[in-house]
Amino acid sequence: MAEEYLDIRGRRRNLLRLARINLTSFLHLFFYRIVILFSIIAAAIIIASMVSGGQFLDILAYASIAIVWLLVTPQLFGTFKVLPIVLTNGEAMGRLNSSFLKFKESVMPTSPAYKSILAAFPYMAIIVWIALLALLLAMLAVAL
Amino acid sequence: MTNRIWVFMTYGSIVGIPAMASLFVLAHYLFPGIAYVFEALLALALITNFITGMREIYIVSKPIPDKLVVEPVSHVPAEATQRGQGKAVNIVISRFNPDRGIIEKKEYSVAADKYTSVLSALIKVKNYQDNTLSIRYSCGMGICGSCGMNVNGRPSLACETNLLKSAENGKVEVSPMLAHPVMKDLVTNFDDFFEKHKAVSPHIYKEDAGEKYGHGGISRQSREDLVKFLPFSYCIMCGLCLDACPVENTNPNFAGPQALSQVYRYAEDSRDGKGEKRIEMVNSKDGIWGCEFAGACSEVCPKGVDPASAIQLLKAKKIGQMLDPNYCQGEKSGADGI
Ligand code: SF4
Ligand code: FES
Repeated sequence: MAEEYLDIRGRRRNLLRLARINLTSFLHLFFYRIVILFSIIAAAIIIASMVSGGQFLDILAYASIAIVWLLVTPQLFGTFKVLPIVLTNGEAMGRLNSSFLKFKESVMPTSPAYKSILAAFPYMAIIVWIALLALLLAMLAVAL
Repeated sequence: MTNRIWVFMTYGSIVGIPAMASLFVLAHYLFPGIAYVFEALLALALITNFITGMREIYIVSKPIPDKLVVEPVSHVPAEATQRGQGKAVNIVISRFNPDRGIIEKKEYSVAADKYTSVLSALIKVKNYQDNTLSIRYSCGMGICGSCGMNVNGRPSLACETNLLKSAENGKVEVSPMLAHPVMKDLVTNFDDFFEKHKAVSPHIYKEDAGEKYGHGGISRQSREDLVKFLPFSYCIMCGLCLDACPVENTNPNFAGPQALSQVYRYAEDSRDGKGEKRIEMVNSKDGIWGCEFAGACSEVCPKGVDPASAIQLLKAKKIGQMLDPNYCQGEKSGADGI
């Protein structure tokens, strides 16, 4: 690349550009970056609590699992979104061209109920996920 | 093989963390005696996640070039400002000055009516206020893909973006796309982008002797065949998806959403003879597995190509191949790509 060009690709802080483009995407990426670093701390605390078994470490382990739980939520939602996309070739939860979707309906109609159920799946899965977090927090409260 | 292991570890940990965390909590209430097994597996998934994640973070980390110095806004007074009818809108343009090696912000004022696009406002600025402004455009109607830039920080086609609707407090910010090297003002260099596109062989491969000499008949395609790839063929190569993509912004070696969506487009075309080699071309860390599914590419695509979905569909196809005991790895020989 000729020297006189401005090429700022490759900087980690470019991730911040995403916040203005799409906040959900930004949170997805940003939380995942944090969970990468937090993973090792959480893993160390869990292992220590399993080995030593002290109450303080147990509480710390539950708390770190709860933090990981929250941080992976956007990532998990993205993963759940893949299922409807793959099963409907991008029709459910995708962002395909709207005139194409009309054309596709005339050629190969897909049941709206099927699409709605698939589109609802990631949200339902996240509700279950949050309910389980509530259980974890109950465990934490008991431990405290 | 190494690639497979990394893919397995990365995706295994992403799925493993929530799965083991959930099982741990459930087991704690239902089968307390075995809860510790899931706790240990959760710790293992977290360690794997840390290793694979750090590897991803390590891929590229460039120092910030000192070229990116943004100069304060300098107001450019213009007698021609109010030429024509309409409301005055101030356009703040981030202009890259290659001689000084910095980005300078300049503010211009133009008259806009409800039909004025950002592109027509920029052309007005160039024609009547500052003919040193560099912009690239051709069709003016969202077909050629030349006028990509950031409008209020969002990658957009200038010709398809309404000026008044974009104005916030009478002001619109325009800047060059930053996931392409900037040449001057708002004009970016697309060499890398076109190279990546070319690298995925974006054309139909066909043993067409039969068709040519009349023995095999013509390649008929049903409407059912057509819908499999049609939306992915709408790409106008504007490069907005790359500019929005966080992976492309942080790792320039990533194939990028545009090229990957074209892999899916041709892989799904019933006339294409390249078959599984297409997916093999991008079965790598800088290919489909580099995508973190942020989805920003599909958000900004002006044509509804939905590159993010195309990449997930490619991943699903690849996983299907990996799980298929009859899949022959030898198929991949001869595949070029990323
Ligand atoms: S996929 Fe969409 S955003 Fe990307 S180059 Fe093609 S038309 Fe532009
Ligand atoms: S000028 Fe052709 S797409 Fe904007």
